[in-house]
Amino acid sequence: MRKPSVLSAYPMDELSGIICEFVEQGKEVVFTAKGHSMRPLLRSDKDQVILKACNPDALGDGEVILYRRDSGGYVIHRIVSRNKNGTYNLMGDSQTQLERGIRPNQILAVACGFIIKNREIASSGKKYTRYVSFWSRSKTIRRLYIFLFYGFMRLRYLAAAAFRKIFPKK
Amino acid sequence: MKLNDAVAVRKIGNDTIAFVVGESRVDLRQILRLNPMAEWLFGRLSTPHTEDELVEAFVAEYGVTAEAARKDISEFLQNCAELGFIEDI
Repeated sequence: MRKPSVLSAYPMDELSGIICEFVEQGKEVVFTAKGHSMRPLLRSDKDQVILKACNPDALGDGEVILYRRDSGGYVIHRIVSRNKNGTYNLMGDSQTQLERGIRPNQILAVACGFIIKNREIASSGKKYTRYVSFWSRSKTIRRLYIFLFYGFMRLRYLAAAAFRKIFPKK
Repeated sequence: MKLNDAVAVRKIGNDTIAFVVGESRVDLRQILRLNPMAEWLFGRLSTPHTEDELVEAFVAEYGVTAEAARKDISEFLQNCAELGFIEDI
């Protein structure tokens, strides 16, 4: 029998049922973030989001939520604004395009905290609220960050591809 | 020993996973993926069993030698205990 495999990050789409089950029971759920859309706040496969139940009709700008897209995918992004018809406009921290018209019935949970580099940060904490306020307003810095981050990722990918070409596995 | 009461086991697609459910928080940072034999052991451990009883039942179920079963089970139980999935009673 092999050693049991311990996983720190499991695809959110597959865990969504479990997350919803326990959030509905009133528990907080700690979940490892996957993907780069919430950088620089959350690093993929390294940092965690702490989710809890919420009233989807009473969420404020800046809150990070778990929602289900009509296409079926589960996503964690930040509320940027609310429309008159009650829907929300969302965006990841490393994105510049709004995702408009997310209905309250698509929202499953809200983030009440994060675990970043093994340190727990409450979403009501001073440092975090300062980050949200700064990051929401600093469009130029956000664009520069996105340019640098994705530029670096692309360079890393190209370097790895070149390395594989020069030193193919035998 | 037996399975910690706070352990939840769920099926996700083809996988069976286990994780610890706290009183106010569920931590999905450590998810244990169970293979069929580990799943069988977890099923047994829902009630208290000694290691010898598990080995005996495992040999009867899977037809392996007692020596091989003891080695594997002992290692598996040790790993699970370190992760807080099973408790000595």
